[in-house]
Amino acid sequence: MDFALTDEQRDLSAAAARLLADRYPVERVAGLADTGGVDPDTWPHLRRQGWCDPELGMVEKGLLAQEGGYALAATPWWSTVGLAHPIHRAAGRELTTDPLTVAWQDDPAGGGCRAARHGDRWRLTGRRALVTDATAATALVVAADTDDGVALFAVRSPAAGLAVEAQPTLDRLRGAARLRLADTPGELLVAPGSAERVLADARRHAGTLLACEAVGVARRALELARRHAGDRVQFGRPIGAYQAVAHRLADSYVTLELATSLALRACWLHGAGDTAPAEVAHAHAEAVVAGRRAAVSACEDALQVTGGLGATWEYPLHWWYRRALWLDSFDTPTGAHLATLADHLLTTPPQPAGRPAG
Amino acid sequence: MRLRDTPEEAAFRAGLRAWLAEHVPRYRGGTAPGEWTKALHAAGYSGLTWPVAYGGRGLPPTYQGIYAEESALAGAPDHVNVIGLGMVGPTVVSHGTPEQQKRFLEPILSGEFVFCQGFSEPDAGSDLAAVRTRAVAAADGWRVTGEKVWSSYAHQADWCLLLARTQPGSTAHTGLTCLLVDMRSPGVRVLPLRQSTGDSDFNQIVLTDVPVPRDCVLGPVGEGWRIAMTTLAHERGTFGITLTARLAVEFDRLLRTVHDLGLAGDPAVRAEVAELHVQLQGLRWTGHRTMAALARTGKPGPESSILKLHWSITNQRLAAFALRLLGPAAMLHGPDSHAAGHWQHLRLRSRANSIEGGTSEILRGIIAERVLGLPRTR
Repeated sequence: MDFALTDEQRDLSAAAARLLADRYPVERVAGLADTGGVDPDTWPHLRRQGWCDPELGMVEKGLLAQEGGYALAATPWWSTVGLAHPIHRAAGRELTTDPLTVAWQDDPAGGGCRAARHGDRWRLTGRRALVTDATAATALVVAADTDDGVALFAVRSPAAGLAVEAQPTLDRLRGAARLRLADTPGELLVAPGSAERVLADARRHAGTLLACEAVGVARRALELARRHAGDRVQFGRPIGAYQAVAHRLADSYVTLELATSLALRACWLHGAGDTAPAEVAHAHAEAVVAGRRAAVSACEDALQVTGGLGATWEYPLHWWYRRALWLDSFDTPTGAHLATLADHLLTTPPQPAGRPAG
Repeated sequence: MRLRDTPEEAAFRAGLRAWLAEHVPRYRGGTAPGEWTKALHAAGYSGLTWPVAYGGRGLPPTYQGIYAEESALAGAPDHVNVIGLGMVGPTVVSHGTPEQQKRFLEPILSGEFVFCQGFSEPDAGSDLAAVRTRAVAAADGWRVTGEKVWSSYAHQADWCLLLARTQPGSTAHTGLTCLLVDMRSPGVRVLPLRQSTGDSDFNQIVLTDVPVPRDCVLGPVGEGWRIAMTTLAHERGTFGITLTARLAVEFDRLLRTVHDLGLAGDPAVRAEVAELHVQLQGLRWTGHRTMAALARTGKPGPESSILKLHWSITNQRLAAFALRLLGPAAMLHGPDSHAAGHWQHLRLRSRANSIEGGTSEILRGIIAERVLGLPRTR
């Protein structure tokens, strides 16, 4: 067993970090968040650096997601590569490098989305909500009900009868949108029968990358706090010299390291190919739970350490905190992940001197 | 990155598992000190990572990790020579003279020499630099007087790796020397310490004018601090993996308790079980990451402190949860208690987890300074 990054993986990570540090200095992150969170300029750079390459391995994607979280990169990369690509791949489509996203969540205001067949064409009518990066996407994958069950459709954006309304969000750098579809043309990507499984796989793929992103968020929060604790002098010494501060950051680091291990492991299992589906599912749940906890607690620890400064709008930490809170609430709730794990652990009594589950 | 055993590792693991399944039951319980080491040595499982020249097998640290994991999962006997094999041996390999290597390494491997460690002192606690045990130069070597405490296995040990102050009036890290002390020397007294559990795992060692020959000085005189740090770095090598695997055994026992008490359907119980599982998995895979770093760099990084730190937190959380499951029955501790009082015992014992082998406060300090680069705390 060798749980260490290869030289190539480290190089990829470093190159991605350099690109994003260049594109997203803290002032720019704050500026983008203040003015609506759209950054149309970085996408070609990501493409050039290979962020959308179809042959990118899962661990490599996880490393890129980490850097994305660290820099708080305002790009639709995750929704494109994390969510939409696995569906396009399952549908046998060639993977393009256009920004994409996937719409499957019901609008809390009610109303689902239905697809009706007209000869060999489909038209979609209804609503989808909480669609990440929808305003940036040139095409959408929309889940819609048919007479035979849920199917997945490709919808161009813009398209006839399609309205994409941005919704005000907690995380201003990862917007949500509501889709309204009125007889909008769609192209069948995945037929009923397999669509639910394909969508679930894509969500797991994307969720594993979000666990990595969470690790990046936690790392940045710790980094901001660490720097502040070393610089800020109170009562004649840097506050990092006080145990109450130093020990809090040490705990933050521990939580981050544990989450990093689980996130990378989930990526590896996801990409390994020879892994039992249950093992992948459990590793995914573990990574998401640990990643969310690490991101939220690292930001909260950092906010405490940065004191009054951290509580201001001007100090940029709250943008990472907002991302952590987004990660904490996106898609499957933490309680449901824990329930999945509990089902697995408590279904049958373990044998004496049993071995730990994967 | 490859999170599966190589074919060679898998074969080693399978062979080890089979061997443990056959031998562990025979050696569990009251065997003589060193017997288990002897059995391991005969089967080729001692000194896996030691150089071949010193009787080891020269294998990469991963194999030691597999050994640590499998032996803990198999519930192998508490290893009386864990200090000799895991800490003193590697230190003698790094810092011993050729004569010392010849004299000590083979007997440590074979279980002939069981070692204990004499670093901590009553007034020093975690502050090893405050060591007061003194060694005075004599015609044939040194004469040692002082008191050591928290020495595991001292009551069964043949030798002790001891830290003493050889330069009178020196303070802190200077003027210390590492000595190899024969526990049968005149002037050595071992007094068992009774813990809050009622067990006696640790001892006090009282040394009164104990003669230590010159050839039993390990490393240069006055550089004991550096030598002791090597020893402690080795303590953290694969120990995190052992601890995590033992915790996994406790976790499985916890699952059985949940079933036995009919609580497997309780939502609060299920949530806590899943939370503990995530903590355990985090430890387990971080252990493997640390192992990979050890394999690449040859020494465990300061990051390995996180395993000990978080293991103690998780072990305490698990023990507290188990006792909570028992409800009022947790008040019992004896033949009438659930699982023969296992959880009561663990709850009491686990309180020391955040103290022994480096307190949580010391470990957090190490992480803050050496990993995060924060200023020294005072």
